[in-house]
Amino acid sequence: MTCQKYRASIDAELHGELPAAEMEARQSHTAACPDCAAEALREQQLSSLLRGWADAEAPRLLAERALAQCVFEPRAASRELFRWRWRAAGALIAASAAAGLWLTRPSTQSVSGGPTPEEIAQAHRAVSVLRRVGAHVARAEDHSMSALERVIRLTGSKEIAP
Amino acid sequence: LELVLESQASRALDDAPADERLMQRVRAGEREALSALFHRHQKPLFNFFLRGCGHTEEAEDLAMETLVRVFQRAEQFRGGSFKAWMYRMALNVLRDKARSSRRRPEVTASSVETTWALLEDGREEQRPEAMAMRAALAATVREAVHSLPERERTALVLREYQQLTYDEIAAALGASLPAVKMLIFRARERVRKRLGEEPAGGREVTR
Repeated sequence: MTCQKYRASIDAELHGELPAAEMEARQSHTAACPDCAAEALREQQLSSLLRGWADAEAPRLLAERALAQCVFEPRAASRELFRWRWRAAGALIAASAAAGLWLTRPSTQSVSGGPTPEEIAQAHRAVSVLRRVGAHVARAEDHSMSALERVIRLTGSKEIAP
Repeated sequence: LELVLESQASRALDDAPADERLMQRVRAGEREALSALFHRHQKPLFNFFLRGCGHTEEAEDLAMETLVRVFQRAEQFRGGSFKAWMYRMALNVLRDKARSSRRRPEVTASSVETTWALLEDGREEQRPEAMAMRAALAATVREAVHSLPERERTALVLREYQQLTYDEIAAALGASLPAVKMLIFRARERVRKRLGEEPAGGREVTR
């Protein structure tokens, strides 16, 4: 080990950051090099002097006052799930209401069965309205489609694809 | 010395994972974990700012701002050294403060001297002569540290007082490892030179 290498890592040695294997080489070096041994001692004394500037106590209730400013909110994932559930519930309610209106409206259906072109157009409009609610209600839309499919199946139409 | 080094090493090993575990719990919404983190780091943070700016009220405000920011940005903590992450934030708080007040924090040897003299007056001390010796030594060291260029001073304070590793200081300062080693080497050289010019205990105590 050279003197330059030894002196470059005195600080690391004082902070206990050198591997044990290197410590042996360093001890061998200082045993043979009084200049580096003296330098290590001076650095150690400097660290002791620096620590003479002792820590002050933290102000009273510093941590408590900081804590008082910290408000935990529901985690992001939970919030997203919460929002999705509300959106899905809203879409299902809308779909149920649409289906209910459909079933209770005055019938213009012919005796021979099957929806009229006007009814099919209304069904498409209902699906289109639900779609405009947004892509995030895709699952709810599936439910509403199923509800409408059932309605139209009851009335005998196969033309449900938008 | 070996005992001191061993205790420092074991403390470093114990603390770092514990801080990271606490951060995981903070992210899971545990207030107790945040409280433990705040209580553990309030004193080092306060002293970091106090050594940097020398004003008690300002150091207190900056320490509190940093603690609150630790909470607000907990989701951004991606592991590694919590201390490096926290002190990086502390340095950002210091920069933001300087920017908002359109001036650099006022750091003068006299402001530091006055503050620490007041703090030391509040301590219990057994013997007046021991108190005078200690105060003289601390005053000499404070002046020596505060005479350093800002970046060297920050690196030295993080190293000697906050007990950060080279890697942690590099992460906190956003500097390379060789640059950090050079900063600390130069800082120590300057302090040694200054202390050599004015030996500890040789200053006249005027208080």
